[in-house]
Formats: sequence, structure tokens, C-alpha cells
Amino acid sequence: MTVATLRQLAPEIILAVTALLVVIAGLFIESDHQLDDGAGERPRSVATAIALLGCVASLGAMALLISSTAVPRNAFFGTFVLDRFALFFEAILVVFAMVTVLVGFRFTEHFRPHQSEFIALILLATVGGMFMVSAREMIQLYVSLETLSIALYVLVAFNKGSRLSSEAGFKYLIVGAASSAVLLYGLAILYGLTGRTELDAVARQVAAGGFNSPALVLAMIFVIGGLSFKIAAVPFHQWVPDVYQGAPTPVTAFISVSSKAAGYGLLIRVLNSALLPMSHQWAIYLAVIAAITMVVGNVTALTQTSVKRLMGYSSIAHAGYIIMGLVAMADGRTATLAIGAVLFYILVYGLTNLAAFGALQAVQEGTGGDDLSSLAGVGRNGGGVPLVLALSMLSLTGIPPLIGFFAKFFVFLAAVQAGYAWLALIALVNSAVSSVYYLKVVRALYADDGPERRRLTVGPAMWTALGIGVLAILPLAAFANVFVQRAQDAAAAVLR
Amino acid sequence: MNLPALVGQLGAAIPSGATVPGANSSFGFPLLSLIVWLPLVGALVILMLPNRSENDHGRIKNVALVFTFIPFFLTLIAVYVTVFIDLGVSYSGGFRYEENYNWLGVFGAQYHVGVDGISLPLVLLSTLLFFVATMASLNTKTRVKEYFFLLLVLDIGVTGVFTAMDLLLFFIFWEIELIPMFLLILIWGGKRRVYAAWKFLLYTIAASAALLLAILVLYFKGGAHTFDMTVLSQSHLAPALGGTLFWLFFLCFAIKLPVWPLHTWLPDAHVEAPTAMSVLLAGVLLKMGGYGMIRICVGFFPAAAKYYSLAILTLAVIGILWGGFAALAQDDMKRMVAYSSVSHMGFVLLGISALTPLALNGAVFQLFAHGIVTGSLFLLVGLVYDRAHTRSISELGGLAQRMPYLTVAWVIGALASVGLPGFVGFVAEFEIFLGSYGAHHIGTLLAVFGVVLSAGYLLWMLERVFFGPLKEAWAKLKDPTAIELFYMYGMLAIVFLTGVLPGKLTQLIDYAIAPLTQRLGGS
Repeated sequence: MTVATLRQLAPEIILAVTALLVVIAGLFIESDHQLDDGAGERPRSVATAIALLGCVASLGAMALLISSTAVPRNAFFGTFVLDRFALFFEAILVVFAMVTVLVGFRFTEHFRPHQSEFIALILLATVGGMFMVSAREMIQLYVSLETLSIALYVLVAFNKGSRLSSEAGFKYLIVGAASSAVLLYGLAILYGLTGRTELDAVARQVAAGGFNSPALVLAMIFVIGGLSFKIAAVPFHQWVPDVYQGAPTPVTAFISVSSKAAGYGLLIRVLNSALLPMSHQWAIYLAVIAAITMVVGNVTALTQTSVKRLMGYSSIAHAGYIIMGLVAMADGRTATLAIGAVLFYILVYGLTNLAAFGALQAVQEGTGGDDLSSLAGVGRNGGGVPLVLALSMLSLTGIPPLIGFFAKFFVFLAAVQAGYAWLALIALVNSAVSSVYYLKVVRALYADDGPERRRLTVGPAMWTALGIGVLAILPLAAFANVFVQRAQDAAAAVLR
Repeated sequence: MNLPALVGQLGAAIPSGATVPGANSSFGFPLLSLIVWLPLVGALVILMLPNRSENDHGRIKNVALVFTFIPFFLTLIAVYVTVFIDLGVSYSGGFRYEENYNWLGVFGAQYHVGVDGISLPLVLLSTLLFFVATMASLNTKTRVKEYFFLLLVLDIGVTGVFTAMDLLLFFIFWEIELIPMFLLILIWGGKRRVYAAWKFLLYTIAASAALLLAILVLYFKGGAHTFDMTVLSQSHLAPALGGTLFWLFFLCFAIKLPVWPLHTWLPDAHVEAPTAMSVLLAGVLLKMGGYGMIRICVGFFPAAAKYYSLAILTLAVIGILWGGFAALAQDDMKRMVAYSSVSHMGFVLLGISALTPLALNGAVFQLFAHGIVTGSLFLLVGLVYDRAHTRSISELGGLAQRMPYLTVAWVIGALASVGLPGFVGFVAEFEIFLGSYGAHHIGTLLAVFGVVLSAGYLLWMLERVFFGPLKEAWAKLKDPTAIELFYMYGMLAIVFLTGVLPGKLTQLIDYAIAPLTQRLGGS
């Protein structure tokens, strides 16, 4: 390992060190006997500040890496790759982590005296995700996936006092372990057939040896199936509603954006390297999965009353739309367009979801629940929080001119261009159906009668998080070209 | 703050592969962008203002007035320059005040706006009616801040639809209108507001889905992979595909216009909406449907429009008579005016089905005329309701003795709606009938009967509500206040002026219609 390698890993190393620093700092400033109200504020502020600084430093390191040409793009004998695709994902993962920390700022109070561990775990999970999107070798791929997952298992169950949280943590662990096993099995078959663990080498072997072997199809299904757990796609989606509802809201937000984004990053990488020779097979498989996933998500969401559960099903539905974009990736002519659209979608979906969960968190702090009934009339006193929640719901529906529309539109375009008009049509109908449940939230906020309430107040940390969300939802549409361009650059990188 | 211009600069700064055709504005000054986006500035200002006391409410209302008046004023300038200075001199058709900036170059979408003879009258109509609607909303007391915020957002969508020259942009403006109107009916509406608002929403979403689908198909099958409307309108499609697309677009616009049998959302929405929103619904939002039909259905698919002319004629005649008879049977004044809208929009469809220059000119003129006349009628209904707290024709009676000014206004408004010569409605209907008789003899004769019906329901209503013996319950009613008289008679003055001097306006419309009919003849 040379110094150059260390430079390539700088973003990850900075973040991992920051996580350790946060924990160590926590040991000194957070103590068991500070249990009176409000005493957790100072250690929390310090830990959050350290974490945010670390994230910014990590982003800075990425900026340097992008501009520098001297740094080689491969490390560890080609197992770790540092192309624009990986950097795009690393950047949005770090941004997601920052926003999550901000969203959780006040809520972390409940975790005393483990506030700093909570923040450190978010950072560690992010490091795992960053390795995932850079992985080009099966073992690294699996280890980084587990790094992310294990941190998440702990985070989901972090609210030790709550039975829902513990139950969610247990379910998440069981389903997660099962899907990891499925993934590992798929990888093992691939290794057995080709004798290689590097994704590119596997692709070469597969392409050379013909790809009609049933074992290969099985391996493909297992790999995609195992990763379906991370992206909340059918058939590994059952954990979603329970975990979304049970986990602490900032963790739910984090799972719905970071874990998914890393999952997509890995999936796109695998599909475009090891499994690329089999693109005809996985295109059909994914098309079916996309259709089923979006229908299941949208139809089940219609009857939900807990908004966090509703967001869980919404997350499944959106997984369906994104997979539709992945289907379009199979066609070489539309691949760049499709990946660009998907990356843009992931960025937009992530920021919108963070805004939604942030606002939901604030509403929960004010009203004590996340049911539609406890949202009733919250918007009547005005204020920014219900407005952000309403805007993010409309954006998730895909109502122009909010950014969610553009994300969907690009994916639809890509799908139609690749010849999957029928799938786009299903998605269009689904999208119309989804407006019913998203608008239920808006209606609860603004039109339903609720008990007299004081206007919700939130701290500066939450304001920053919500502000980032609103900036993403509204004006980003006008400047979408910039981001689409970046996403296309990243897409071109993974296809090379 | 001018967002599109910023976007433009940004787009120019990005070294993207996409080229921007005609990237510079022909006028230098982003007039249309200002007209469209100034309400957004107003909405953001309102969002920042406090909303606690009467004083705060007053300030919010003033901001709304200012930010609906400026676009109206700018439009007046544009209309004045175009109609009285340039028309026939330096302007003889085509789009004006164009702005074209790179927006989503990768997908071939531009920020491209412009107006021609079809859209300029409608931009004038919508900015005028938004200003009037703001004035008519000044006595709003509940949730003032949200109300005016949503009103201004609605403004962006509507004026945007009439100016967009890029189909994606058109769709986005089209959608902006949806949620504000839904909330405006849902929160500030009458007794059955929840039902009416959801019905409106479901119909409109169905329309949008058809529109988006049609746009996507056109994008992929048009051959150019662009959203530019001027390019797309020239695309050569197979007749079967052109026909399908024609009907997809038609479905969307037919829901909005509305065309029988897709009109059932309209009476509910119009009746339950607050007065100012009824004015906007009837006056401007329906026009989006008519505009879309002329600009896209006829403009893009002339062959299909010609081929299906009889089917459209049938829908038009049924709508005219259906709306007329239904209006005759109503006891609620607002419901009656709502059904009269269905009938009058049938005339627009009749003009579209005939496809002669005169009939199309009349159809555009009717969009403008109906917007002002029926907008006025809804205002007048609102003024009666504010005082009597009922709109039931059978309960009211003899109001003329207590409210002379309002009665005079009502008589003028009703006669204009009937289509009496000297008022704007006459010009439009006359053009339509004259233009369509040559194409459809029987259909036009049947449609003329709709005018007779409108005379029936309007005059009968006038007689029962305003004349005859004064009922005791209404002995204490008072005439409208100064500001109400101002906007009421202001609207009627426009009705009269454009009715007496329609020449310039028809000439303006003609410049835009001529290329359309040329293509009709050629295909």
C-alpha cells in the first residue's frame, strides 16, 4: 500500500477517523450523571459539529480527487475503483449523512448517554456505503455491504426503550441476514463458474464461455435478489413498512436514502460489469420486478394511516420506478441516458425524502405521533414545517414544477426510448394512483380539522436540513441541466 | 429577480453539447417571463409576511393586488404595442416577445416562450381576470395568507400555459394550476366543497395523464426528439398515429373545456368554489382547454382534425343544447351560469369542428369573450350572494328596487351573454355561425338554437330575481360598494368596447389563424 493509495481513500479515511473522533469526544464530554433535561445539548452539539466538519473535509477531499489527474483511478489491485460514478455516489452519500445528522439533532436527545455513538454509527454506515459504490471485486463488495448493514442493524434498534424499535431491529437483522446469504450464494456460484472474483474478469469469463448455463441464470437471480433487500424491491421488501415505522425517524430517513443509494450504486456496477453479458436476461427479470414492485408499493400504500409506514410503501413504489430505469440500461444505445436518469432520480429522491422525514420528525416532536390523524390541521397555523412536508409529498407524487416530476420524467423517457413503453405506461398509471395517498397527507395537514395547536417550532439544525430539502425540491428544477450533466458523466464512467 | 434569465445565463455558461436555436430574445427585455413569473415573487413575499392581525391581512392583500396588477399592466403594454402600433406595419403573424434559453438540453427541452394572435388575447384575459379576482377576494377573512399565496401560484400556471412554446414547459405550467385550484376549492369552498374538490382533482389528473402520454408519444414518434412546439407542429406522422394522438390530446383538453359528456365536474366545482375562483375557473381555466385544442389538436394534426370533424361537431351540438336545457332547469343562479358555460364552450368546439378561417377566428374570439362575460356573471352572482346569502332563483325576487346599480350590471351582463349585437359575445358567435354554416348546415342550425335557449334562461332568471314584486326578506339589501362597482363596471366596459370595436382583435387573431388554415387546405 503506497501513499497514493491512501490519497485515493482519503474521503473514506477522513470519515472513518471522524467517526472515531466523535466516539472519543463523546467519552469525555458525555457522562451518565448528566440526566437532567437539556444537559445533553452541549455534548450533542460538539459531536454534531465534529461530524459535520468531517463530512465537509471528506467532500473537499473528493473535490480534490476529481480535479487531480495525478491520482490513479484504481487501488488495491483494481478491487477499488475511483471513477466519476463512484465519486458521484460518494458525494451524495456524504451529503445524505450530513442532512441525516442535522435531522436527528434534537431527536438524539432520547439516546443519552449514547448520542455520540448514534452519530458515529451514521458516519460508519456511510463509509461502508462509500466502499460499496467503489467496489469492483466480490469480496470487497460483500464486506462493505456488511459494514453498512451491521451499522444499520444497530441504528434501527437504537431506541432501546421502544418495543417497536427493538422489533424492527430484529426483523431487519433476520431479513438482512437472509438476503446477504442469498447474495453470497449468488456470488459464490459466479466464482465457482468463472474462478475469478474481480467483476470485470468475471464478465470476460462469462462472455467467453457462453451464458446459457442455468447456474449462471441462478447466480444472476441470486445476486439481484440479494441486493433487492437494500433497495426495497420485491420480493425482499416485506421488512420495509415495519422497519420504517419502528426505527427512530432519522434512522428511517437514513435507510430510505443512503442505504438505498449505496444499494443502487452497487447494483448498477454489478449489472454493468459481471452481469453485462447477460443483459437480455436481467432486463426481462428486472422489468417484471419493476412492474410488480411499483404496483405492490402503491396499492398497499393506499390504505396506510401511519405516515412512516406510508413512506415505507412509497419507498417500495419508488424502487419500482428506479428499477424501470435500470431496465433501460440493458440497451447499449440508451444506457448512458438511463443511468444518468437513475442517478438523478436517486439524488432527487434522497433529498426529497430527507426533507419529508425531517418535517415528519418535527411534526412528531410537536404532536407526538405519525398517524394521519395526528397530522390533522397542523398546517392551519401556517409555518414552514407543514409546508415542507406538503411540498415533499407533492414532489414525490411527481407534480410539476417540483423536482420529483423531472426525476420521474427522465426515467420514463429512458424506459420508452429503450422500447419499454408498456412498463412506462404501468408506471404512469401507478404514479397517478400514488397521488391519492400523498395528497391524503397534504389534505390532513391543511384541510382536516384537528385540535388547536401551537405553531411548530424547530431548531436551527432542523431548519438547515429542511432548507436543503426545499432548495432541492423547488429551484433545482430550473437548474436540472447541471445535475443531469453530472449524472451523465458519472453514467459514462461506469459504462467504460 | 428573474429566474428564467438566470437559467439562461447558466445554460449558456455550461459547455453542453446541445445547441440552442435562436437563443437570443427578439425583444431584449424578458417581458413574457416577467408577466409569468412576477406572481411568484408576490407569492414569496406573501410567504414572508406575518399573518396575525387585520393589518397584516391588509398588507398581504395589497401585495397580491400589486403583483397581479403589474403583469396585467405589462400585458396591456404588449397588447397596445402589438395591436395599435405594429399590427399590419411591422407585425404580420408569427410569435412575438420570444425568449429561448437552454433548459434541459440533454432531452431537447428549452425554456421557450412567446405569444401570437391566439395566445396574446388569452394572456390579456388571464392577467385581467387575476387582477379582478384579487379585487373580488378582498373580503376574504379565513386563512388569508394561504389564499393569496395559492391565487398567485395559480396565476403562474395559467399565464404560463398560454405563453409556453415548448411542450414540456406547457405541460409543467398546465400542472402548476392543479394543486392550487384543488386547495382553493377544498378549503374556501361552499358546503359540498370536499366532494367538488376531489372530483375536480380526479378529472384533471386523468386529463394530465392523457396529456403526458400524448406528449411522450409525440416526442418519440415525431422524429425530432424535441419538445419545441413549432418543430413538432410540422412533424409528419402516419395517419393512424396522428389520429390517436389527436384524440389523446383532445381527451385532455375536452375535460378542461369541458366537452359533453366530460363536463360533470364543472357544475360542482364552479358552484362550490368561492366567487373569485368561479370567475377564474370559468374565465381562464376553461380557456386552457380551448387554447390547447386550437394550438395542438388543430395546429399539430390538421388532417386528423379534418377527418374527425363530424364527430367533434356532434359533441359540440350536444354540449350546446345539453348545457342550455340544463341551465334552463336550474334554481341556483351559480349553477345556471355554470351550465351556460358548458353551452357556450360548445360554440368554441363548433368553431373548431368547422375549421374555416372565420370559424376558428370566432372560436378564439369566443374564448376571450366568454372569459370576460361569464367572469362578470360569476362576479355578479357573488355580489348577490354576499348580500342575500342565497342564490336560489325562486327565493329571490324584486331585487331591482333595492339594488339598481347591480341590476343594471346584471342586465348588461345577461344581454352580453345572450349575444346581443354591440357586445363582445355577439361578434364571436356571429363569426362562428357564419364560418361553420358552410361546413355543417344542420349542425350550425341546431347550435343557433342554443342562443335562443340562452336568451330563455338568462332573461327568465332576470325577470324572477330582479323584477316583479319585492319580497319582504330582501327589503334591507344594499347596492355594492365603490370598489365592487369599479371592477364590475370595468369588466362590462371591456365587454362593450371589444364588442363595438372588434376589428383590431379579429385582425390580430387572423394573423395566427391564417397559417393554420393554410395547412388545413394543403393537407
